[in-house]
Amino acid sequence: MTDGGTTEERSTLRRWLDSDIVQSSPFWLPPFLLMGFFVYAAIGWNLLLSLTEYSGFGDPDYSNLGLHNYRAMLDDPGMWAATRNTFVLLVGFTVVCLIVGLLLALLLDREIRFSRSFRTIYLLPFALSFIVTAQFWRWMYNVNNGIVNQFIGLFGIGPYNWLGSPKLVLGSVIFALVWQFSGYTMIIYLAALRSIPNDQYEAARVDGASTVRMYWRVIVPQLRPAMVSATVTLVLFALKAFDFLYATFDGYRPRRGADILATKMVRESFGRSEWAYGSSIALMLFVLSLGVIAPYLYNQYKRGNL
Amino acid sequence: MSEQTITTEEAATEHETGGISIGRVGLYATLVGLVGFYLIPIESGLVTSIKTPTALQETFPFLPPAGSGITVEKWQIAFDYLAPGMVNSMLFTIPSTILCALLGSMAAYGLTLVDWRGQIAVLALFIAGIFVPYQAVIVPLFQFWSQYMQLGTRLSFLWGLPLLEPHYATILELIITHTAYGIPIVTLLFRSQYKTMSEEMIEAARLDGASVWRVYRRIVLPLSIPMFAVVFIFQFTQIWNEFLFSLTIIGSTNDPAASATLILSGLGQSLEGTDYPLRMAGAFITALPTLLVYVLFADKFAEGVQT
Amino acid sequence: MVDGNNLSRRTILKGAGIAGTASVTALAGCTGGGGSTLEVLHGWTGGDGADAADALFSAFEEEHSDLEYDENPIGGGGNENLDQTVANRLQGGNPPSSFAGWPGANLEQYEDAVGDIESEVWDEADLKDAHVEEAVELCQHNGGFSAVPLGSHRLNDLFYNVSVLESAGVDPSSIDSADALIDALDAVESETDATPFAFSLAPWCILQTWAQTMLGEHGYEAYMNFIEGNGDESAVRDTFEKLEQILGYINADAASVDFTEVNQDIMSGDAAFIHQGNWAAGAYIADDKDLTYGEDWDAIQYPGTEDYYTLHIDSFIYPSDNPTPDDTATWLQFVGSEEAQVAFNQYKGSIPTLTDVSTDEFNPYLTDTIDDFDNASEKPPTLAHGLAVDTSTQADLEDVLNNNFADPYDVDGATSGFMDNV
Repeated sequence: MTDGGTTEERSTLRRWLDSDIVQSSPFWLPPFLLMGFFVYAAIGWNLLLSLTEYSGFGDPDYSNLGLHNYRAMLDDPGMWAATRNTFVLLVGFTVVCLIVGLLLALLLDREIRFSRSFRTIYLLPFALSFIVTAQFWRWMYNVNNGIVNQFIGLFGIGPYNWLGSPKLVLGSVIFALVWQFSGYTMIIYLAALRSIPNDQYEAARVDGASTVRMYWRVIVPQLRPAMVSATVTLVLFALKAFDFLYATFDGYRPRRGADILATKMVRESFGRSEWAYGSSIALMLFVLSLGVIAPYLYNQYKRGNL
Repeated sequence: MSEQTITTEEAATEHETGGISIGRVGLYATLVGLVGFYLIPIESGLVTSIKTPTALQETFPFLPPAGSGITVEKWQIAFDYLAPGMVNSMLFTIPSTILCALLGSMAAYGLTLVDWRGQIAVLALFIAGIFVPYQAVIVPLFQFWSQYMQLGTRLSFLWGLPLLEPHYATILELIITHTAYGIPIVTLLFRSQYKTMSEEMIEAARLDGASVWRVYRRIVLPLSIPMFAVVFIFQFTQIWNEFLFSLTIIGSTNDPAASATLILSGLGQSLEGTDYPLRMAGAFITALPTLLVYVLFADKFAEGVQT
Repeated sequence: MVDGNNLSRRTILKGAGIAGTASVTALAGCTGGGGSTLEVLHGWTGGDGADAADALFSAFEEEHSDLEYDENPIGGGGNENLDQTVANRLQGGNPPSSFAGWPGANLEQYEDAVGDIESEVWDEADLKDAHVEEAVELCQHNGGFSAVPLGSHRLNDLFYNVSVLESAGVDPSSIDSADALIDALDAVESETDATPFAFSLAPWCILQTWAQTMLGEHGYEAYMNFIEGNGDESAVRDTFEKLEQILGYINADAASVDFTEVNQDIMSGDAAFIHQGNWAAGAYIADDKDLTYGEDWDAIQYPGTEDYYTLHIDSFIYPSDNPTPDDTATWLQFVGSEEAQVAFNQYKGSIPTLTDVSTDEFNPYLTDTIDDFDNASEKPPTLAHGLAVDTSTQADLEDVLNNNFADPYDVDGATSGFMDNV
């Protein structure tokens, strides 16, 4: 009996030690802990900080927590402007990128010679740092000597102060970011297009569908998963876009009309040492991005793509 | 793609000659026009970087300057400013790229080829980690390094040793930070490959009594070498280009640990006005490593992007 | 502060190396006190600022040849990088010996992170009588003294290109009010191709011009009332209305250039007037420009502020928990001395804050400025450079301007924003 019991215990232990979760943990657990600490623990810590009154020098005081920072947000006109700009950027940038990327992908998917070279060139801006591309676009948008004004000058329009005018600045930023990101959406679509079996093209042709009809009816619907994942990436990028704006406006404070939540968050905390207020904006950004991440992950899980 | 499509195209061309070929010409014209659109900001930056102040005022921004309007002075100045930043960026980018790749590959293996309950939940946390905006962690991160860890002080016994300098503490912080935030995307990249690996082969190996480690070392690792290449190229570019961590963890463009992107962001600010040629030259020097990697391995980069 | 730590480590390393005690344990042990070297942070890394800093430190070496020090210049982004580094190091409990910064309300942000040097520096070196009372007052903090003035820039100069004004038929000495200025700007616009009012719409530039307009139109008392939080709404509104008219004459690219760029236009004759702190004159005086004060360029006081000297002060600040208290006191006593102030300011394009100083070393423009400084009826503190309001109020005002008064100009929004935030 006792013997049997011990054997059984031992075998339970053995089985547990042999189990896949234990066997695999040396592989995934260390990276998970490292990542978990820096991502999830930090988010929790950020939540805690957002409830304090931490600002200026010294250490945060965790003894007196409250929602005052969130209330202060409601009274902050800058917050409203930044939220509105964030959504304009998010929608404008995402939609234009998706359309331009789709057109590029459709063009390149037509048995083009040198299609690889074209693809490489269109994707090139995506490989550059925002700090680098911001330098290029400051020069492009220069009021007196910039290419943009010289180009539209050919048609007798302008010159405009693209980065200076509150009405134009956000559009100008979106345009530059589309330049940088449309290659990315193109790549996503191209991968999806190339995975569509050839016989579907054939079938559509046999049915006598015109090229446009064929694309619209047969091909585009199959690109939906690609579009979803591109949208997620683009939206989440738009939420955190900071580097380009910092480099374009030489500091924490973008020109009026271009301030978004991401820049306001960094400015409040690192520019003005309002750490707690900055954390509360950060938390809002996190919640907004969660609104995109959660449905996406759920969707992927449902489809068995996880 | 396959020959089939080409035949279809050709068949179609025969049917409606003229029309299609005009269409083809238009198609190529559009593609070449788009090349112009994507390259002109870069090209304009390049020609501007070698212009003298007079040439800058007098020539079109997209045309190269003529003989006397050419100067490489700005490249020299920009290089002097950026050289230490380039070294620093290399010092943290390469180690964190390698660490990311190793840890990401291990995590993907542990979460893909070894089946256990709950792995989906863990995996979801990894994937969500890709998308978390850095703003949501930047204040705690800054607190963590500056007030709690203070590696500069803790490791101060090291700085007397040869080849070690105090600002390597900041570099070490950046290595750890970039590694931690790079793991999620790298894990996803490896997982996308491991999912397609032959399960039978691995099952067979395990039935033969191979341990989980052995399977990883003997089967999975050799097969993932192409994916390592993709990850190296993709992560190298990402980490090199990163800015927010540099700005907050390093803090000042004058810091001995300042990265290339950080120095570029403040380049030429204290001089008279915005010195566009200097900024352009600086932009190219900063972008050089990523441009090189991109031009040499564009396909691998695209592969990393599309996953 | 991490980088700060490193810097100070290196400093210690240097000092220890000199003392011949470069043992690893000794390095690990000392965090201030004992083996530390006097470390001074400042932001003058380029142009006349760098020359001025060189002159300052050479003069210090001459006077205190026995004292090891470590000069640590941190430039870029205005003072943004310097401020950030200082903030990081104070926050991380690793302060430098002394750092350059604005005194006045700007000190409030540091709370207890800066200490008191009233007896060690101010009394010891008799600085209270040597400096003008405004400077003495502005260096006080927490009931003691936390800073020592180094020099002063003037904020209410209106610089102009002489020949542009001549061809426009404008007599600068007749401009004594905002309306007269607007007439002059109008004349420049109609008579010449030059930009009437060279300007950068950076928020701090709008703020400093707003402050001079307020001062010129409504006088010292109204201005002081405003910065003390008792502003008269109609005066604030009127100032914005006048400023809106003036800003109708600025360069088209004002929203995307900084003042150094438009200042070039004054020198080249492509612009008539510019309002800036008198650091702008440094570019005119630079050797390679070949411009003469009084002939090519000149300055009047911002209209309505003829009797005033709008005060800007650069100072060195004393962090509490100082790594080198005795040496820092020596340094700060030196900063307040005539030797230091003359050495520094003649190159910086600013003037000493001393009540009585020889003008031998100063150029004609600065000599005139020193003369005005001595004779001004009032020396109101600048609003845009830390003296008048604390950093967070100043940032709030700049936000208001950025959002309401950086083209298009919303007088109502800007007025209520200014009234609410001070």
